[in-house]
Amino acid sequence: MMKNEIVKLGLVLLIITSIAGGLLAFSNTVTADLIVAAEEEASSGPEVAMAVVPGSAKFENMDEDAVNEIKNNNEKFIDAKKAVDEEGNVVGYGIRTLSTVAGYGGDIELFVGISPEGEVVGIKVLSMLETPGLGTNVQNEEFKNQFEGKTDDMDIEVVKSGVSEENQVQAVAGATTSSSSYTSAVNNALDIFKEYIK
Amino acid sequence: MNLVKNLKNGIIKENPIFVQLLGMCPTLAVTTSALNGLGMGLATTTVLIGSNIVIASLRKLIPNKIRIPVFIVVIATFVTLIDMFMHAYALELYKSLGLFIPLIVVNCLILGRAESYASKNSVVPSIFDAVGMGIGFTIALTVLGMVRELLGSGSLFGATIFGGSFEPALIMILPPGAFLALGFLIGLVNFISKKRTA
Repeated sequence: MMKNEIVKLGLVLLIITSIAGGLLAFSNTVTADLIVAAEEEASSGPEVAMAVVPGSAKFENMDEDAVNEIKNNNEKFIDAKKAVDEEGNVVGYGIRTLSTVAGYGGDIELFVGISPEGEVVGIKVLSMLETPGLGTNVQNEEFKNQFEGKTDDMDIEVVKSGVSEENQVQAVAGATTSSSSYTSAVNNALDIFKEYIK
Repeated sequence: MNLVKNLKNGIIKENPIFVQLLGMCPTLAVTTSALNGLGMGLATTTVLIGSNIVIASLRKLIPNKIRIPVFIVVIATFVTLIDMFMHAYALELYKSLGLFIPLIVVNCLILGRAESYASKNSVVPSIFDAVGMGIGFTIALTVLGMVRELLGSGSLFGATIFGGSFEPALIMILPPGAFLALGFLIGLVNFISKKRTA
């Protein structure tokens, strides 16, 4: 009698979980491709290209072997793209990289736009887990604009106040760690550009 | 008539946040902005409606001894569906709610309604119960998010309200702010409801 009940309860659970599993498998096949497309659009779509390299219309893939070579040599590197204008001329490069110095919430992921001459032209934060309202202020124009015009022969340095050298940027008030982490990602992008792309 | 009472019950008399204090984890964690609160509220409402419908219609088939595992499977299925579809169609919101979407599974509001209402009532009243509770939850989260965003970042739904001279009270969007804002809001709700009954 007791055994029968266990079998019956087990069967009911089996039926319910099977239906749930089937339903989820179906919706997974429906959404899997959409999710990949949405992630791609959000991280490397035309909007990102326009924000990172002004004057460009979209990103184009670079030679796969070249990208893989950078990946093998630089563990923080994620991806590199050519930014092209509407006629297809290359107007700059986008380098997607993590920071080499961790922030408060791990690495910050940036897309750094670099002109063919090796000058930073734009930066976009793709992901970070810094303190909201404090560390996340590195996203603000005020901090970001300091990097524009920095070149690949510089090693950008963060100072708390009083920028005196050309390779220095002023840290966001109260967020030196986040600022340093952000800057390390920009430096990494410039190094990659100088070594592999230029 | 009873159905309307079901609705009002969830929104006012037994508001899940302000009166029952259910589901505190997402309430405190995601309400750093009004939009996050609204998004979390709507996602939870959708799961609640789905699980109440399924549980109410299966209530005579589910053996009493295994009702809790069955409820959890049903709830987890709906949460996973929401997780996939949000990832595919609302990437921005998906990223800001992050870990808290899967955690809807263990939101005691949903299991609470399954156990105390849907498993004892037919489908239609259960839907109204879910909608009422869902709206109550969503309103509470949105209001909490609005208060915290306004004081902590000087904006509402992402639009700046206070000008540059306003110094945001950073603590409001950090965890302590969640407790402070929630405490004052519950106090306010109690004050108003006491006045009305007196």
